[in-house]
Amino acid sequence: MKKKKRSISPKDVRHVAKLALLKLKEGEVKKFSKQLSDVFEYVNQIGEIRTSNVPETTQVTNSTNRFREDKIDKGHMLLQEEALKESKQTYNGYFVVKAIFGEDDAAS
Amino acid sequence: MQLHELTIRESLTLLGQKKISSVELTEALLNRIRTYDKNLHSFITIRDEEVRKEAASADNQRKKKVSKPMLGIPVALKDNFLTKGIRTTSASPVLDDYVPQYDSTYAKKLKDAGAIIIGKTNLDAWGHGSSGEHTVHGVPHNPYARGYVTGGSSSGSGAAVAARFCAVGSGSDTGGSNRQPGSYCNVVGLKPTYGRVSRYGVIAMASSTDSIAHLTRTIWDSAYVLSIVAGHDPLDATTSTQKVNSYHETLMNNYQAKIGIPKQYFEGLNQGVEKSVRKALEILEKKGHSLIEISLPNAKYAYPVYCITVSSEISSNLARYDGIRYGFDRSKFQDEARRRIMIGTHSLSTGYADKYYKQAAKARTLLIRDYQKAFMKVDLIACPVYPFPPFKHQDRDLDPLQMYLSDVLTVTANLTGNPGISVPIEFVNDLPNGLQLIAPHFEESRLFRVGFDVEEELQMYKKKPRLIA
Repeated sequence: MKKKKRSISPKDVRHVAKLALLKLKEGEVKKFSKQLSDVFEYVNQIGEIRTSNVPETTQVTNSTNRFREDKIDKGHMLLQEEALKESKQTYNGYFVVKAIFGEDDAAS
Repeated sequence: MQLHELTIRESLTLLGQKKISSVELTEALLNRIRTYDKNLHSFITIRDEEVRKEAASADNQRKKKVSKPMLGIPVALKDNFLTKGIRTTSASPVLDDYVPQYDSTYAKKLKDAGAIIIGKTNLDAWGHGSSGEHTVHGVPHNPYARGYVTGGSSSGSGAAVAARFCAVGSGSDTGGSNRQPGSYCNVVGLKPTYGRVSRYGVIAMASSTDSIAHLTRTIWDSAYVLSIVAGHDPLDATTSTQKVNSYHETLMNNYQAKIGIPKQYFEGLNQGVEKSVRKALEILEKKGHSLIEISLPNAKYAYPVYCITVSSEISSNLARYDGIRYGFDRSKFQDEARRRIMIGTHSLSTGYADKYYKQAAKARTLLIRDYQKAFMKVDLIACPVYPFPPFKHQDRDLDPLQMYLSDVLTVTANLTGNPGISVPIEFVNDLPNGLQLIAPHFEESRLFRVGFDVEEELQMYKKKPRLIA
């Protein structure tokens, strides 16, 4: 019997996981491929809605820009010590981040 | 008198008359939590010593004639509300050790009003869920039916308020998360108009639909607390500057509403749920309101539109969790968050954004138009909250799509920004059920006023759960 092709293939799952910085195990890729396919096969029905000439809605407040004076509100500032308090790794009062470029990248 | 049975309204009266103290009230609730919550899992964090001090301080202030609207009233906050110095996990291992450096506006407003935070309640991690099962802190049990779900994502607040651990628990409603546990736990679950209550410091799920409020046992309590926490907040640019009403003061006003009954919202319902809801509608008719059948032609697209829109916003909001400034890294996300991040990432990715995200944004406009047309004819919309009664733990967990479809009746109000409420009505096979009311933007008063008619007639708040020690 021929297997039904899933709308979200394992390759698609690996691709979105990479975009979203999620690491998946091979067994998880299969599981999510099935589950996400089920979801997208259901939501695909939005394709049948006639939306030509319909504007997009991305927020519902009807307000546009909200301005405030460009003044520092000291009531809403954290001291350096407080800001760093929750970090697992700090150095000389800075957050430590992972290196973005390896040495090879820097050389080339 | 059983102190744990007191509503906010009753507690304030008795505190004012010096018949009880905040210390007595707080102690009674903490004792009750300690006795019963190990079998219920409604709290993630229970505060202790500090709470006693705060209650004593509230009693002192009262003696000195200090007047604050929530002075000495114990409250619980959903664990995705940031609380300065109190661990806030969002029920996810990613934030397992996170202790916020600042308060959410909602928490700050309640603290400024004199309330005492007794603890932080369980939830579906990040707000992702409608059953309460997606948590690493023990799945909450329905206080009225052990082994059954509480509804979610404000599962712990629903269970805690129903279990008489506190009179109010906060909640965030992104697709039904306050109304759903309201319905399944026999309490009042409120979703105000988008922008009525500040989202500042509430861990973001979907920024364009997150609505902040609470669960209580009575309409009066819900209305009273809304009048305290609502309002413009410079820290949340989407909050409205519209005047905040004293919602609790208009519950007795003479009011006859035209109530719209959307035929699409009554299709495919569990029969028990339908019967219970129809009975509640008869009560409204008896009280002088009129029922008018209406049609919402795009209703069947609401869930797909919601799924795309909200998952897209989730993938964007959860992108910030990298474990650098706080919390742990992305390997700690669990399956439900990972599923939603991937659904959203796919919907926004190159080649798919037009088909999914943009198409959903356009369809959202059509859902808004459906509601606008309806509210030209009627003052309120009435319908069920869930299409079926509470289910057993793990019954739907294995099939994510089946779980997602429990949201079909609640998500539209989030996409359109309308306020909604779940009011306790007659049980279905010994399981709680709710009536959902939806109003035009900023007409929360109508929800409370008409919900009050149902509450007055059925008095479901008198039905107590049987807890196991």
